[in-house]
Amino acid sequence: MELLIVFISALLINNFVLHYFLGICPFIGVSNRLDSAISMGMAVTFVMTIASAVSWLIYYLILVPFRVEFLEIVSFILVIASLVQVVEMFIKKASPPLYQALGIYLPLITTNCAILGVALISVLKEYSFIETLVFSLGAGLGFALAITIMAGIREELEFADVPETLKGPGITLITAGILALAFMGFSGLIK
Amino acid sequence: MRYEKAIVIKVEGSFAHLVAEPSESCEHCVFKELCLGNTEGKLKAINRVNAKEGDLVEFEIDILSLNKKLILLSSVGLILLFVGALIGYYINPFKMNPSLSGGTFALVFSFLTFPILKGKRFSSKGLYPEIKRIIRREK
Repeated sequence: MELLIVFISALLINNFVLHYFLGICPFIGVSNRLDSAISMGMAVTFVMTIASAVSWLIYYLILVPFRVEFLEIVSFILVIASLVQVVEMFIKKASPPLYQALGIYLPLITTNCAILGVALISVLKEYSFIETLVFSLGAGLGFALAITIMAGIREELEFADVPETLKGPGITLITAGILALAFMGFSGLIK
Repeated sequence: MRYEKAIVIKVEGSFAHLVAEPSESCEHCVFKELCLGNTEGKLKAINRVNAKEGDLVEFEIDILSLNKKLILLSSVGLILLFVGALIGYYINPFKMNPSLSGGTFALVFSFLTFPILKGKRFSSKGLYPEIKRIIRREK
């Protein structure tokens, strides 16, 4: 039950994009087409879960025993960057065409602050290893959900009669704000 | 399906190397500079229309097929990661720290995704973009 609460909380209630406002850059940048948004969401979920697991291990098995917890941000950034490189190498080896198609998403994931945020928050909340995995999976799927909804709305907006002054970033940010308000409705789901 | 324009820079058997022109979909993307600056829009495409160096061509990307493969890759990776973590954490075959064991198994299992999926489906020609027509021949 505890794990389900952690999962639902990260997915809907404390959604990393619409509650913590982390990962806004790819959320706005890659949400103009539904297909790109789904690809980005899935790639982020995969990397986020692996990165959180490795970051948790590094924190509790290296940083805490040596009393160098203040290095958490530096080490987590290194972990995320190197993991993305490793995943990139594996995809390049396993499927060159898929690597060619995903080329742009992988470097974007390295600079996604939501991934670092998940690793830092799971340490801050003192989650166990399994809780961290479930939390990061929920956070990743929450990111994928938010970016997919946003892409769907933006594709529809192309046919809407938007005032000239609001076209582009203006209407996108207003839409993101309304979406965040809508997600606030989930806050009563878990007490 | 998505259609984009590109210039052929090199022909290699049944494939052609292209430099894609920034399209409308790139226009409002905040990562345009990063994307085009990093790869210069270079890609490899199936060349069934016999395009030559310097030709301006239109190529097609099967986004649906790519998305399906990406979702499969991510889902299988995540499932294997969780299976590995649960085996390592709860069964702990090497009787070490449960978290360390869970993490090690999770990583090993998740990286097994690539050899498992490295089959025909992931290395097939179907994943490459394909040149559909020649817009302008190089004189």
